[in-house]
Amino acid sequence: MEEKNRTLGELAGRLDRIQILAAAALFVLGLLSIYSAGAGFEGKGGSYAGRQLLWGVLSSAAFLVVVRIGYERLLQEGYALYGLSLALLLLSMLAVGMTVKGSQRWIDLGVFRFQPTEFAKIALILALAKHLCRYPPLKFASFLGGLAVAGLSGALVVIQPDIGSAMVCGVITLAAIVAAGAPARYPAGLLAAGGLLMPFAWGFLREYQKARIRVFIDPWSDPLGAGYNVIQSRIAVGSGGLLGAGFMGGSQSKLRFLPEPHTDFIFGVFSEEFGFVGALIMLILFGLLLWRLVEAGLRAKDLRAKVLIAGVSAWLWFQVVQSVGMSMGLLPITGLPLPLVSYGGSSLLSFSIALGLAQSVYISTVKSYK
Amino acid sequence: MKRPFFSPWFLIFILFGIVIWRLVALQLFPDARVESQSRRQYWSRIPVSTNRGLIYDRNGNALAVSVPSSSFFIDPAFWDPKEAHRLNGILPGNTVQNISKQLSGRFVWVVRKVDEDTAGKIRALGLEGLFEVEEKKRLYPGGSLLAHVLGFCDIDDRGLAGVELMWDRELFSPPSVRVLAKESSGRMFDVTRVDNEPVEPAAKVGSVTLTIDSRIQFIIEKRLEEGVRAHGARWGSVICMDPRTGAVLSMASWPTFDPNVRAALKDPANLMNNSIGRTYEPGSTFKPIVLGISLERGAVRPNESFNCPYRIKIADGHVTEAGNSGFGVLPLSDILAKSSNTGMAQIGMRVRAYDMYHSLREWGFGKSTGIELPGAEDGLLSSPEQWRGVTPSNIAIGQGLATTPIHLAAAIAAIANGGHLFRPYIVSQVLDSSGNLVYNESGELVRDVLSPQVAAWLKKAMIDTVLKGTGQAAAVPGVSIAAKTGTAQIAEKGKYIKGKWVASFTGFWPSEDPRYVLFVAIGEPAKGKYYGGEVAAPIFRSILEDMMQIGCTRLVEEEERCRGVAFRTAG
Repeated sequence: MEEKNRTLGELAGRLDRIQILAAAALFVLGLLSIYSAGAGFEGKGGSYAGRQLLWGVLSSAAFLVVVRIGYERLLQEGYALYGLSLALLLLSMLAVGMTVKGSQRWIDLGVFRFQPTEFAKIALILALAKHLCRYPPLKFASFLGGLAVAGLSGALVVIQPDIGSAMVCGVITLAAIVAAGAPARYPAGLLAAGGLLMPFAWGFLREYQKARIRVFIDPWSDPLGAGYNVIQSRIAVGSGGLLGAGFMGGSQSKLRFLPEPHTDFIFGVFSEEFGFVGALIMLILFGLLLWRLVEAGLRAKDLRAKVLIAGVSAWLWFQVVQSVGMSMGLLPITGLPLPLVSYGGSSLLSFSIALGLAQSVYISTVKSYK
Repeated sequence: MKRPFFSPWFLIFILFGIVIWRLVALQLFPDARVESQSRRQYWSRIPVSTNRGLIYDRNGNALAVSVPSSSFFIDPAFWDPKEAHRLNGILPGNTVQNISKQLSGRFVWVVRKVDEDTAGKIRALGLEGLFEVEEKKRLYPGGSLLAHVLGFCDIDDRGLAGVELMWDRELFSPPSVRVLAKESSGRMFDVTRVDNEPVEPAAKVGSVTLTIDSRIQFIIEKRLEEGVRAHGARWGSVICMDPRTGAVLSMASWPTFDPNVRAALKDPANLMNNSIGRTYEPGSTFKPIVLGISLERGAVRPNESFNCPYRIKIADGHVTEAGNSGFGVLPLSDILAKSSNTGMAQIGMRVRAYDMYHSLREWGFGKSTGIELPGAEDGLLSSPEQWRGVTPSNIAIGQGLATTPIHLAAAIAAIANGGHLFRPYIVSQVLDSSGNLVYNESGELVRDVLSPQVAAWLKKAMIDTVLKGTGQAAAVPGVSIAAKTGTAQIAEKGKYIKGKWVASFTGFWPSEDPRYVLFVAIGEPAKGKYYGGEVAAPIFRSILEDMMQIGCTRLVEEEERCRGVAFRTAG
C-alpha cells in the first residue's frame, strides 16, 4: 500500500487533530489532578506529576512510533505480540511480580514498575483483529475459536486476580466479535451464559472482591472498612458542587480521606476541585475522543481496522464508564484507572499506543489530494 | 465520502448520559448528609477547652482564671514516627516513645496545654503531621494559695475537687468544637471553624465569688506553714471566720499543693482539706461548748466552785489533769481558764446524757455544717445509749467524740456573737454562664444556742484564759482576745497513743464586738512541745499581729477597710 511509504510530515497532515487535542487535554487535566492529589502525600504532588509528565513524553513518542509503523504492520505481528504479552503475564505471576494489595500485577524494572496486563489488552485487540478476520465468527466453531484466543489472556488475568482487567478483556472480545460480523445470537448467547454463570462465579471471588460488591449495594454496611472508599469518593464528588473547590482546594484528597486519590479515584479529586462544570468538560472530552474513534472505524474499509477500532473504543469506553461510575457509587469498585487521566505509566503508554493504532486507521482513510 | 450518519456504535453514549445524570444528581443537588459528612470529617472535630468560669475572692481578685495555651496532636496519616526523636528533651521521654511507633487513626493528642516556651520549641521543629491547636488552660495565679478550697480541674477543665468540683456546672464552659482544615496551598494547617457556623462571641462564663479574703489567706497560710515546720507536725489547719455571719474569711490546710503543677496532684495526703475533712478529738477547745450547754441547762451556776484534784475516778475510768498536779478549789470561770479536766468531768456528769447529746446536735456536732465544699466530714458523735461509764465526763473534756476544725470554728463563733449559731459559708455568690444569680448567701442563722448572758459569761472566761490562763502565749497588746487552748490525744484503734497530739487554739477578737474568729490546729507535733498553749497559741498570735498590720484591728472603720469595701460581683 502506498500509505506505508508516507513520510512523518505527510502523516502529520492527515492526522485526526480532534482526537489528539482531546487526548492531550485529558492528559493535562490528569496532570493537574495528580499534582493536587499528590499534594496530600507529604507534598509529593510535584514528584507524582513529574513522573506522569515523563510518561507522557514517552507515550507521545510511542504514539508517533505506532503511527509511523502503521496498524497494518502491527496487525501482521498480531499473534507474535499476543504470545509475547501472554509470556509477560506468566512471568509477572511466576517470578518477579510484585504484590500490590493482594494481587500480582506488576513487573518491577527497577526504575519503573510495569504492568503487563495493560499491554496484554493491546495485544489481545491486535490478535483478535487478525484472527477474527482470518476466521470470521460466522459459524459457531470459528466463534468459539475467537473466544479461545481471547480466553488465553482472560484466564491469566483472572488468575492474577484482576477482575477489572478481565472484564475489560471480555468487553473488548465482545465488541470485536460483533464488529467482525458475528450473528447477533452468538454475542447475545455469550452474555446470557455469562449472566447464568454469575451466581457460581460468586464462589470463586476472593473475600475482598465479595466485600466490594456488598458495599456497592450498601456502602454504609461497612462504612470504615470496604465501604469507606465508596463513601469517601461519593463525598468527594458530591462536595464539588457546581464550580468545585478550586485547584488544590479539595479537602477529601488533601486530608487523605480519599484513598488512592491519584490513581483509582482521580475522578473524585478532579470533580471535587473543578465541580460539575469540570466533570462535565472531562466527560465531553472523553465523548469527543470516543466519537473520533468510532468515526475512524466507520470510515475504514478494512474489516481488520474496524475490529481493531471496536476493540480500542470498547476498552476506552468501558474503563471510563467504570472508573467514573465507581467514583459516584454507580458501579462496584475495581482497580481500573481512568484512561489518560489516572497516574500510572503503563496505562498511559498502552492507551497512547491504542490511540496511535486508531490514528493510523484514520490516516489510512484520508484520501490524498496531490 | 459516503457513510451512515448514525451508527449503532454511537449507542455507547447512552451510558455516558447515565453517568452525567448521576453527576447532576450528586453535584448539583447534593444530599445534605453528604455535605454535612464532608464537613464533619475534615479531621474529627476537636473539642478544646474554652474559658472556664472565674473564681473571685471577696474583693474581686481572681483566684482561678483561664489563659491561652497550646496543645499538640498528630495526624498519623502525615506523621513519620522516625521524626519523633527530635522531640526528645522537649517532651517527656514516654510521650516521645508513644509517638515513635506507627500510630493508627487520624487523631492522637501528643501533649495538652503546654506553656508558650515549650510550644515555641515544638513549633520551631516544623514537624510534618504534628499540629497545634490553641485552647484554654486553667491557671491559679496564687499558686498554692487557697489550693484546698479552690480545688483543681482535669485536663479537659472539668472540676475534680474543691470549689471547682462543687460548682462545676456553673463554671464549666462547654468545649468549643474546632474543625481543622488544611489550607489549600502549602503545608500549614490552620485551625478554622466551619464556614456556616458563626464565630461565637467570647462566650459568657459563670463565676463564683468566695467569702475568702486573699490577704488574710496569705497570712494564715504563711504562718501555718512556719508553725507546722517549726514543730515537725504532720498536718495543720487554720480557719478565720466572721462570727457575725458565718462567712469563712480564710481557710488553710497543710500539707498543701500547687494546683498548677499536675504532678503535685498525685499525693492524696496533700489534697486533703484538713479544715473540713479531718476528724479528730477536739480536746479542751471543746470545753467552752460543754460549759455553755451546762449553764444553759442550769446544771451549774456561774458562781459555783469545784474541787479539782489531779485525778478522779469516774465509773469505769479515770480523768486526769494535763499538768502534774491538781488545781484545788476553782471557781467555774477558772476551770475554763486553767482548763481543768477534773473540774469539767464533774460538770459533764451533771447533764443527762440525752440532754447533752441533744444540745451537741443543736450546736451542729456530728452532722454536716452545710459549708459549700465537697469532702466535708460530719464528725463522730455516738448516740447517748452508748455513753456508758466515764463517757459523759470524757465528752466534757472533748474526748470520745470527733469533730472537724470547721465545726469548732462555727461553734466558737456562736459564743463570740452572743449565742447565734450560723452556718459557716464560703461561697457568697454564684453566677451561671447566662449571668443568672444561682446562689447568693450573706449569712444563715441555724439557731440560737446560747442566751446572751451565758455567751457573755463564756466570753469573759475565755478572755481570762488569755490574760491569766493557758492562752497567755496568744496575748497581743492593744487588742482584747478571748480564746481557748486545746491539747487532745489521738486515739488509734480505741487506745490513746502516747506522744501523738493535736494542739489547737481558738479564739476571737476584739472581744468587745468580735469580728474575727480564728481557729488553729496543729496535728502531731513531733519536736517536744505539744500543748495547745505552746504550739498553736504562738501561731494564733503571729497571725493576729499580721492581720493587725494590714488593718484588721478593733476599730470598726479600720476593720471595714480591711475587708475591702469594694465587693465586686463577677460577670
